Amino acid sequence: MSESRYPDSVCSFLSAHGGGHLCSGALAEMPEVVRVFRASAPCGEADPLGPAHLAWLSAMADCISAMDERVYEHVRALMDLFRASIFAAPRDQLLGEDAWRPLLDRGIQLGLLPEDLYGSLPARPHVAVPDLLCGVKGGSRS
Amino acid sequence: MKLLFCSARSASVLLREDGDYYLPFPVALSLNGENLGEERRSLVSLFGLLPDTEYELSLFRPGADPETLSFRTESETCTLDVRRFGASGDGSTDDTPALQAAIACCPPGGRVLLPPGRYLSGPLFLRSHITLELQKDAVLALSTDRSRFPILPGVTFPTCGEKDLLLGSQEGNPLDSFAAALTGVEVEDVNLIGEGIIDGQGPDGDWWVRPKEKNRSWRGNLLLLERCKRITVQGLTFRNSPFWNLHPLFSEDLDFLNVNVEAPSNSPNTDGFDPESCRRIRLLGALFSVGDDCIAIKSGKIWQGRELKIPCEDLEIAYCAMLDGHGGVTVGSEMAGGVRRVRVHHCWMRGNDRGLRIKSRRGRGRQAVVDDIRFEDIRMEGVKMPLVVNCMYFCDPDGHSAFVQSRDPQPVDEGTPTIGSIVFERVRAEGCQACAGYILGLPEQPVESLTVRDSVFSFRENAPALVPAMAENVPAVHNRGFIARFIRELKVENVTMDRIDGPMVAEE
Repeated sequence: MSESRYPDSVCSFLSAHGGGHLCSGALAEMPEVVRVFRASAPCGEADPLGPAHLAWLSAMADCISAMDERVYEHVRALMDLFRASIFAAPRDQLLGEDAWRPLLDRGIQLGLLPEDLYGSLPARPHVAVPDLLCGVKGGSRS
Repeated sequence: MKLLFCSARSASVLLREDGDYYLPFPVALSLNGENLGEERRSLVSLFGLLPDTEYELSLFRPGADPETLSFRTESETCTLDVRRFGASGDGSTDDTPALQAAIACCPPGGRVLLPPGRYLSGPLFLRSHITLELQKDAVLALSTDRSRFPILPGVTFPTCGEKDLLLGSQEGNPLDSFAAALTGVEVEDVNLIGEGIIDGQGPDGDWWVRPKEKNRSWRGNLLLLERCKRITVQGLTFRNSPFWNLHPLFSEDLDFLNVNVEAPSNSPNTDGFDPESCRRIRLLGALFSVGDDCIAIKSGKIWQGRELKIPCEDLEIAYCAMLDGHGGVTVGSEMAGGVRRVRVHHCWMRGNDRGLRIKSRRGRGRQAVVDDIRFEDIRMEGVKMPLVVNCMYFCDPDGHSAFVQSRDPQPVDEGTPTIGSIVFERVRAEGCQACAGYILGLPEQPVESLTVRDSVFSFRENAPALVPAMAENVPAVHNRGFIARFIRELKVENVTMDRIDGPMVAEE
């Protein structure tokens, strides 16, 4: 197995969700990595801003920044998933959670979230809510 | 003679239609009675004209009556000389602010003029309805200090609405990339004219060192036209680009006339002309000698093709010379949006690896349809393989995988690309080496049709064997005719081949 190109957080996440075999970071693995992220979306969780959701998004942000741009379509799939999930979250609750602040800052830094996020989080989601988490779990989106 | 383009200061004229880059014989020209000397090219551009003025161009050849063409130049609102804006043109002062100021201040119908001199500059951004002229002996020398280059963000998500803003582009993906020496974003009605040079100074910077590594950003072009309309590029020489030279993207109604594109044969990815997801383009009378493909017609990689669905279509490439680049005319491999209605005619190719090369692979998608590609009246000298169609091109991280390379039929699905009709007509190819043509379709989606008509292919004697296509398990060959696999219809009519081993057409 070649040396992993993923951060530890991504490797841990993939391992915990049955994707441990993907941790080499080989480019050809990317479609499967995206599938694992989709399949592990914490939909149906009682607390939509709970630790499982935060861990999922954090690992995804790490993965987005580490992935090779030659597989842009897969990077893009994760970018869309990340953004959609953020924009679907209850706004006031999201911005009020200190634990989420580093993730949101990271999203801004990666160009995934608007610079003025804290002042103008879009009132409506970029992607329809039903399509965000549960809708993509089966991998129907590309 | 046929007038193809006329600005306030220039004109382009097709002298005869029966040559290629060169005329069948030299002619003499005069303009309003003034002798212009001998001309050997089929397409000629005239500079130094005056606005709103009548001209008469005369063509002379022995044993024939003179031909004349009358035309009137366009009007012009003003000329802004960049030296009046503070440009030094000494080759060492950073002239970026002065040049950009002149462009920004130019009113509609005006001309920004770079007189003779060497103008060191970072990337400049164009604006609509102006002419930018680099006179003979004017050089726009692109800075080599990438730390001072602006970056075009690949994707910017919308604040409101649904549409992403795509700016930076790299090999078919929206990725952060350095701005081009001349960048036009959503500009219209611009003329870039003159006998001057836009010099990327590739050998003097670090652009060609570890070129596949992202260094602050991806490499930029010498000319990027993004979502532009009605742009004419005439007469200019583009030299030593950091990356692809000319890159029109999502643009339409573009003319490139008598441009020259030069880069060393070993310079990485210095494609000459890469229109991507554009329509209605004319590339006429251009001369290429570059380090990669002379012309590469594209429409994005998978995400771009699937999401944007913008093909590259209605292209005319004629009276051009393509010397020494890897491919004369290449389609792909980023062709996920489709490429159609491309007519290449009256061109001269010399020393290329391949004349026409179509590259595709499984996964490019349902939109990835290449259709109606015509090669007519083409002269090739020492082109190793005049035609290669490869649907198993081993690009991208999974290019060598069984998914891409399997010769067993795979399910036809949303990832399956299509190759439609290709026509080779009146092609004269001398000094071929490997084969006249190599066609590798997909078993589940064969190439629809290839017609080769009224053509001649002659080979070097005992030419060295070469691998004709970049796919797995393709053996090296030499002195072969057409080798085809997974094609529905292959018509060969009135074709002769000289010094070939085996049949003219073989399915293997």
